[in-house]
Amino acid sequence: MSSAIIWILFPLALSVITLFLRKWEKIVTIITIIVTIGLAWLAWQAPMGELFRVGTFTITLEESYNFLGRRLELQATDAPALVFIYLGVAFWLGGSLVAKVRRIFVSAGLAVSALLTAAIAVEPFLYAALIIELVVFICVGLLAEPGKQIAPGALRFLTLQTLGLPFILFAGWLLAGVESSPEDSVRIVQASLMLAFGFALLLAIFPFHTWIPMLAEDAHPYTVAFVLYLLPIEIILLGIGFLDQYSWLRDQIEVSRLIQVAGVLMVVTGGLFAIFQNHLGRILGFAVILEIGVTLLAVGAVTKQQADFSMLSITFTQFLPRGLELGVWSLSLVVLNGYLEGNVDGLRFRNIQGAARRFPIASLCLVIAQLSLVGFPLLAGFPAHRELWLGLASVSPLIAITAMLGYIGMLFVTLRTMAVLVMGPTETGWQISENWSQISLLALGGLGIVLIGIFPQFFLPLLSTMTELFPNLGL
Amino acid sequence: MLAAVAFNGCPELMTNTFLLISFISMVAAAITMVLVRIIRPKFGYSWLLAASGAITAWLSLLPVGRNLPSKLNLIVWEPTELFSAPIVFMADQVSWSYGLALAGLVLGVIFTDVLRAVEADWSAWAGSLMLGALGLTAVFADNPVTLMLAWAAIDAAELMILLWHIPQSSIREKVIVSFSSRVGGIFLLILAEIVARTGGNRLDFATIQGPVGNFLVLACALRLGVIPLHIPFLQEPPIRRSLGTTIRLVPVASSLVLLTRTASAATATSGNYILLVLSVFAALFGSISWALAKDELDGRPYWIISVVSIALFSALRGDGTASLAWGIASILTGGLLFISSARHRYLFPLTALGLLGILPVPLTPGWAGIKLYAPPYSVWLGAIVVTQSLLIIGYIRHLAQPGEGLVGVERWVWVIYPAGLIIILAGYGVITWWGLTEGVLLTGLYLIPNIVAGILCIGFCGIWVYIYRRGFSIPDRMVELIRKVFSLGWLYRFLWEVFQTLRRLVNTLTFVLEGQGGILWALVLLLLLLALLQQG
Repeated sequence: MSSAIIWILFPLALSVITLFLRKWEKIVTIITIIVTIGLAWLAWQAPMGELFRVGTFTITLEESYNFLGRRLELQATDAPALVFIYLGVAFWLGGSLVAKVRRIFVSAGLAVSALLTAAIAVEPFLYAALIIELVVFICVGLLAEPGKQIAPGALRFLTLQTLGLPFILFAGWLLAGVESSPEDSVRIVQASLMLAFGFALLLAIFPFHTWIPMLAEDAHPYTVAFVLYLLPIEIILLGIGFLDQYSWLRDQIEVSRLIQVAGVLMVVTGGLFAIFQNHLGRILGFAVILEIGVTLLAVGAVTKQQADFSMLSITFTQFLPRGLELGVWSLSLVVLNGYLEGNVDGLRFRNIQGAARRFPIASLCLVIAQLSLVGFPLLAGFPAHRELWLGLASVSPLIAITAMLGYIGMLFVTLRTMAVLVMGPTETGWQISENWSQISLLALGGLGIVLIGIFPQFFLPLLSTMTELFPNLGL
Repeated sequence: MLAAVAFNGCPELMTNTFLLISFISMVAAAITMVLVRIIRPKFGYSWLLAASGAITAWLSLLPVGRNLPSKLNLIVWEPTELFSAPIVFMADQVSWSYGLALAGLVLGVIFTDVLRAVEADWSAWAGSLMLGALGLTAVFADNPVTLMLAWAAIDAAELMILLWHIPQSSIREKVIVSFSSRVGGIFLLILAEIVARTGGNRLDFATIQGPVGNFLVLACALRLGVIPLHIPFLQEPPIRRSLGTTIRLVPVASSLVLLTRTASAATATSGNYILLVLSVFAALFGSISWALAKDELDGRPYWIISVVSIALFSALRGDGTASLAWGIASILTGGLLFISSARHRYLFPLTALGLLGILPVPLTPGWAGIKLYAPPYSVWLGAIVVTQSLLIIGYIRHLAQPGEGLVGVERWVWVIYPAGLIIILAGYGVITWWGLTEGVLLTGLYLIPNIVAGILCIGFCGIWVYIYRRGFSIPDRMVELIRKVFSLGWLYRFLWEVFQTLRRLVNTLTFVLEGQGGILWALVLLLLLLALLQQG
């Protein structure tokens, strides 16, 4: 049996089936969570490309599978990525039980995880860009409210992502030419420009970042967080794939500089724009922009000097805390949003003043998630953020200080959020208004953030091995 | 002796074991109290539980002082090639002194609470124990990561306790401002690490170097509220003496330990000089306000500001011993007065003994403090002499004020309550002889200047008493004006205006980029950016 059937086609088929069964939302969600956890466990345990026994059966998981004329290759080195994707999706599906998202969330989540796996597996890897576009279509469907006009943010998201796709494909075509004639400098410049422009659009690099805060303001917080978590990670993996595939690309100092400039722009945009926001959803959007920026800075360091390969490992270890942070943050927003039902202004500061007295658990978890995202000690984001800042300091002090400034901006808005939540016009006593399912999920998420922050050694090593996806970068 | 036999002549193992016991006993007592209250809400032995945890911690820390220094590896973050920082405790003279002071303070608070049955309850004791344990983690931290974790835990615990107890929004705002400045201190510590790394070094408390030292001092100053000078909130939490004292003093101790360590890296730079001047102003302002405060609890924030400013001043001049002496005085001398709610002629000498922490008397901790009066001389040293005299006068004034009586209390209270004060004094004694050994002796290169400074200090005290007796006082309007200037409200209002202007600018840009023609505007902006980068 081919591994692609297990981790790509099976979940894809299941997503279609669950679409028809969405009437029984809770049962379908629970079954899907069990299946995705099972797939993650299988990816962890099953030796790809080798024989393994299940009871009396002996199965060989073949690494390669031909599909529509393309190869889908899943090897043992992909196992950490598969574990990450399926556990991540299981986590997000778990949260959807209380997040009151659309019923198609389960099907869409499963399809997205299958497609993300396909994007990692497809050869030639350039086709990953097409698969990512498919993911974008699914996400837009998920973000749109049935019976309502599509929100401007979602429309802009679709436009900019679709605009980016031809640039990537065209760059791929040019890069194939560069491989055969490396001395063709004109083609190299053309290919680099195409790639840069394509990724600027896909990764929402300033000034193409606007769809992120717009989306975060308009759409359901939990769905937005899901999209903003998985999509940038996949696009960054695609970008690193380019660097891994083409040695001339990672050896050019200009490429490294360009990535770092983009990173600095994102960090500054994310951190400093966030300071002036009054909407908790938009702040989440700018936090994602900040995180994309820092990831770019780390990737830029890898291409400049091979000695900084550890920066990539650290970047990958950030994926787990980031997922938890965004999940807990958005779930808290869902709870607070329920409190504001009927208020057209939504999650603006003036509407949530003093909300902590009625929703202490949601408010506490919101602040924990925000603090973790800025790298506050004791919380999940701290170990990786600190190492990233120190790593960046070794590469360039200026970049490290800029990155810190971005985070200080985000810290400032976190403290503002905290002040708004605890200071209200009426001085009522504390009361817990969240229901039990909300309390248990939020508490679980908040506790997870604290535990990872104190004991990262139990949670993060697996993710650091995701660097094995890019064997050439370490050489 | 018994312990030495039990550890088979391995002093480091013994030290580490006692260190762990001190921390665990406090945490365990606090957690047990919470659990017991959940299972049996009417449990009547909470105080006993709290007292046993605190006594164990204090007693365990005593033998640690005999085998210094010692290191204890707690947790290693893996993979080690990515996460370079293990969580390590280190007991040396500085950390042990602060540790014993903290443990003594917590024990003193719990013991003296027997007189304040109305004010203190099990939650206050559990809070004090937990804060004490976190304080121990901070003072024994061997590296920046351990310290950052401890600071963060202390700040989070303090924030939760205060928000829980304070219902007024206006005071909550001040709690958040105070928390913000503490968090700012944590990020300055991270910045210090970054600065060290840019020079190819790893930040290590044992070898702090020039520019990094400045960042560390700034981090401490920010956390202590000295620079920029800020008195967090004058309205104290409802539990004023008991948990209130722990809440005020534990974060102070956790920052002072780093301050004392940075004294070794003090260099004469312009940045340092500015810090020095600011610390003198903070010390003077704090001491004047302390001397004029209504009572010791109202004056508590000013006491802290003033004494830690002198500790900062000492550290900036490179005098670690003086910095340690003032740091310990802020906790123990101050703590002793803050927990002494009862006034009785038999108890008066006990509380008065706390003055030895700030009085320039040889063979006392106060003598280690005046070691800072050494060359190079400047006008700022004179200001510190005045500050010290005001602190002494303020202490005596608050001590002499009437308080709760001890009439009608049960006999056992008569034993336990003074025991709480004696424990603090005993701990102070042990710290003086084991931690401040060099400083308290009547020796040293600058003995004469020290004696002169001591005499001057006493002289100033006499002048203040004379002025006070003649009925002179600073007009209220003047005091208010000084407070307004030093509270930096005017600066914060200015910054708020700048913030509003920038917000309008960003909102305009956002409006353009997120509007209907946003994508076109983005393309224009991109071209502009590219043109700019090409020129660069």
